Amino acid sequence: MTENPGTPSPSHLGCGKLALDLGQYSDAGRKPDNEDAIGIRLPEGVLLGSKGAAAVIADGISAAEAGKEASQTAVTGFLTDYFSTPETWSARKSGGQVLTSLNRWLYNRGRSYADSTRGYLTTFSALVLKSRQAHIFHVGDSRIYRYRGGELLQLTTDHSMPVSENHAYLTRALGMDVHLEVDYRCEPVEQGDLYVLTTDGIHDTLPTADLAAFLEDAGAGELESICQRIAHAALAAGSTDNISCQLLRVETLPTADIDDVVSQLTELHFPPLLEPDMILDGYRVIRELHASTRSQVYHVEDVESGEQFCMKTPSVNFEDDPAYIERFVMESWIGSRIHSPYVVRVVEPPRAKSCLYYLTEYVAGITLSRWMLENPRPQVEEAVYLIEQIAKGVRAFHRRETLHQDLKPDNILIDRHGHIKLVDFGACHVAGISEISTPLQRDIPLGTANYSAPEHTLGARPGYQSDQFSLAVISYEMLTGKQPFGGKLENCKSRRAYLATRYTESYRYNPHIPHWVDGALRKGLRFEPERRHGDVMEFAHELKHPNPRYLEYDRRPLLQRDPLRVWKALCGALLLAQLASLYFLFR
Amino acid sequence: MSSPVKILNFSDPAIRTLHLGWFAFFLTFVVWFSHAPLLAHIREAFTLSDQEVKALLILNVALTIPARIVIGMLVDRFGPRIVFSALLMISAFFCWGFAFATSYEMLALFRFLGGFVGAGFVIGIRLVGEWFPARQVGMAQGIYGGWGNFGSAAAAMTLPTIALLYGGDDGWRYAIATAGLIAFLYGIFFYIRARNTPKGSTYFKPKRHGGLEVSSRGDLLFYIAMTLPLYIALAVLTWKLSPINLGLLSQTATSSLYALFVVLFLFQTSQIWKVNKDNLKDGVPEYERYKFRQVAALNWAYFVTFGSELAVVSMLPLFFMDTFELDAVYAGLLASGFAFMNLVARPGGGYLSDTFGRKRSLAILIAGLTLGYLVMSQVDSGWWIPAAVAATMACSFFVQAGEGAVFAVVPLIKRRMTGQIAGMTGAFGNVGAVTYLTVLSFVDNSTFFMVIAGSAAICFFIVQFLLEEPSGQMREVLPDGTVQLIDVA
Repeated sequence: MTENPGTPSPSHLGCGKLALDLGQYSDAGRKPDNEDAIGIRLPEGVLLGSKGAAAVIADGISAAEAGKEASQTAVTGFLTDYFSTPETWSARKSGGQVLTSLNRWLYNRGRSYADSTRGYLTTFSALVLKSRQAHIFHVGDSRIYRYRGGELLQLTTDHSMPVSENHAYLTRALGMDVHLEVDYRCEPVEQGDLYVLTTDGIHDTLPTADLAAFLEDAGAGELESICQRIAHAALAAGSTDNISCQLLRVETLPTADIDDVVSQLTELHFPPLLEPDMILDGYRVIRELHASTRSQVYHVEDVESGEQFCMKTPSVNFEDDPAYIERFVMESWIGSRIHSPYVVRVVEPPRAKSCLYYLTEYVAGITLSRWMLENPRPQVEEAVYLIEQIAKGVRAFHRRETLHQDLKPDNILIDRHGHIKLVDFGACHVAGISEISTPLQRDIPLGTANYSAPEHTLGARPGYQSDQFSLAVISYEMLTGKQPFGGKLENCKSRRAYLATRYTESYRYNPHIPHWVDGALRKGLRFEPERRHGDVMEFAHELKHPNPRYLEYDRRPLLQRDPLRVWKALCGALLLAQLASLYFLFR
Repeated sequence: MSSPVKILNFSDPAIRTLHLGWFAFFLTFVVWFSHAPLLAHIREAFTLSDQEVKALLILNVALTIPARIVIGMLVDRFGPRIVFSALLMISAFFCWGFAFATSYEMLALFRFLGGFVGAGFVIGIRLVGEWFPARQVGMAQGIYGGWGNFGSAAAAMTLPTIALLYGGDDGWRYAIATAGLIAFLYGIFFYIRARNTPKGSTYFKPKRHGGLEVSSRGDLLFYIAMTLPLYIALAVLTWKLSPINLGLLSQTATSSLYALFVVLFLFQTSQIWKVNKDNLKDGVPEYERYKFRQVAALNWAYFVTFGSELAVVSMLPLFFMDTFELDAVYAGLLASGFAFMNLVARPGGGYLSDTFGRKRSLAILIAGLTLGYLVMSQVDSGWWIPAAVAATMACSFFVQAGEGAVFAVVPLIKRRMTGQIAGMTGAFGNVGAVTYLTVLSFVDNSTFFMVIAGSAAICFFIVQFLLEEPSGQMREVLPDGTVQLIDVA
């Protein structure tokens, strides 16, 4: 990954980098072939901050024909592919995805053999050290230990079934089945932690106490030789298998010192408020497009090339608020990681910045809120055409394990060709970033009252369905010109208040809306996230393709459609009957 | 720095909110100072002594000191819209209670409760802050503060005439009640029209606000010492009302009030300690540090500016009436000249501060008001009335421009804590009012002005030697339009 000065990067998150002391050793031992594979990757620069360092140990299964090839493939495959996953992904998601595809590949290779026991099988244990956490991925009977404070603790569980005194069968391995269960575990890291990865050639012969004895007062730079000593000891103790072990010691952890982080963040000053015709870093301001209490957006033009951009600058209101500045820096970083024709492109400026701002492509168009004013009664097809594009934009976020969290008509632009662009990444939640620890107290975005899902307001954990809820609110508003639930979402502060809102069918406002479209809207607006659509594209799909279940809705008996009204009516009738009988009794 | 706020652009919801806001604040000031121009009638109706009249004036500003804190918390909890309309509607009842009082005790009670209304300022500042981007917020808050403060002048100009229109001995009662009625109706209107935030603005989870965070142990002691004047002012007021003096309070009530103040002080100190103990133990991070004396200097500057304004606005109509033997309508009209300057002076002070440097502007303005009050102390029945009015207006220009200049510095000390620093500064303004009015109850008008002048002179030195020009950046625009940033050490 190359870095140029303009590339937005969360460099403040790499303050006081993670530093490791490493050692590893692998040998065939008494076997003719070494079917073990080991590998460690300690990347440089930003990648170390966003993805961490990884150590992998794999033991190709001797019974299998191609155990050696399988273990090699697994180790090299993981070490390359893990670091190629999007930086916005969490370690868990990245590791999981890479292992799934590795497993598929190994399994398919194995299936070409007639006898499935001769497949490409390997154990697999990987340790990813990211920020102040250790992520562990584990299948099979290789092991990962942690040596802390004189105590050696096994962090993994062997997936094997003993069949006799000294024979065990693996119950799980990479390449054994299409479906793979990987043990995942996340542990906090402390400075001085020593991580040990071994294959069964070592831990089946050396008792844990002996292993620990080797690790006592291991000095700097000695880890390589200690690995060798452990291997020789295992051999001496009668190991008949391949012997491999890896040692990683955490020398320094990313800093928890807030001063460092803040000085990194505030390296660039806030730009002043800009007036038309002012030039900043070679960009001439054409006009101010938008200003809020949090930021300003200008339409600018590169003086040299004449290219037009949008420039977003932070508001001086937050000049000494590190949490805000972090969010602002991250905003451009997130934007530069999401590539979609439906999401505004963050431009990497060719020149170094003299202050804090970022550039995006300039979209000549109107916001969706303006569009709704101009098209109070749009054709259903036209609205659905736009909604589908928005959904695609949102999906681009979700594919990067990123939640937009602030979908609203003001954040959606429509150009003159009817193309949608999502703007504003200011409230995004990025899984891969949120697990990088920081001493800052991060801001928690709550979205925009009218558009954010109940789980935002109620403080529950938002997910992909929360963005889908916002999209459904927007869709409802586009189609009917009215907010769903009579605009009452704005004032909802409690679960009770949300449940008290009543859904008004969209076709009551716009008779052109088919019932099945309304069914999709209603489902998208459910209070419980799990009752909404699986993802935004499913929602968009249902706006174009009638779901027969929604058609049946109106054919159901009244008692099912609106039980409340039925019982109310019944009670009312009963009351009248009672009154009538009282009247006749006492007449 | 600031671009003009287009105040006539009613299609802009932010502008509409600004107008709604300043007028609400304006009405709170009308209600709060509705008694001042009618004091002569009230004095007559209840045959009050001079001391009793002056006690009313102090009572009017006393409750405002704690009320600001309560209102601040309410706004945090419920938002400006509900709190402002509720305050206006409640203030109407206090107003009516005062208007139809049958005894001096009732007058005093409702004047005291009316002090609650004076805390309205805080609400609108929050409202304007939510609605205007950084470029315009300074000017918008200037308009809000300046035009709103003008309410006391409006009261002085109109209420005596309205009283006359109603006629009779009870005309003043109906005039004050009318002000209350307007406030009540506007409270309803405000609730219908105003919104807490622009439609569709993104929310972030609010951070917890506690007491002011300071940067060192020395500053902590300084901060605690700076909370003392608040209690001293309240204690002096209590003493004033005790059996030794006016006898409005019984001996038990007086003693229990003293005890209450001690408890409150201890409680506040413990709160301050709670907020700061962790920070001070582990050391405050470099970027969070600031000097508390900056806050202290601004507090005292506001003490002499806003404090003296509140005090003078309360007594000026009566002063003109007694000195020049004028009728109430005419005296009120002349006295309104003092608050009249608010329309331009307060925003003007902010502008001076932006242009000529923060510390220098503030020091010059305070020097100006020192002279202004010295001149006013010389006003007696021998003066030509237009000259007296001119002196009043000149003095008030410096006072109100000084207020503007103080609030131009407040956000620059520690942006993150602007709210708390502004709150503390505002409270000192009220302490100033209580202090000066208490002084007034002991001395004659001329000495009263002299005391203000003297305290202003001390404040001049405080600003000159305690306040530091806030650090920041200057930017320069080259002839071709290129922006350059220059760090100011």
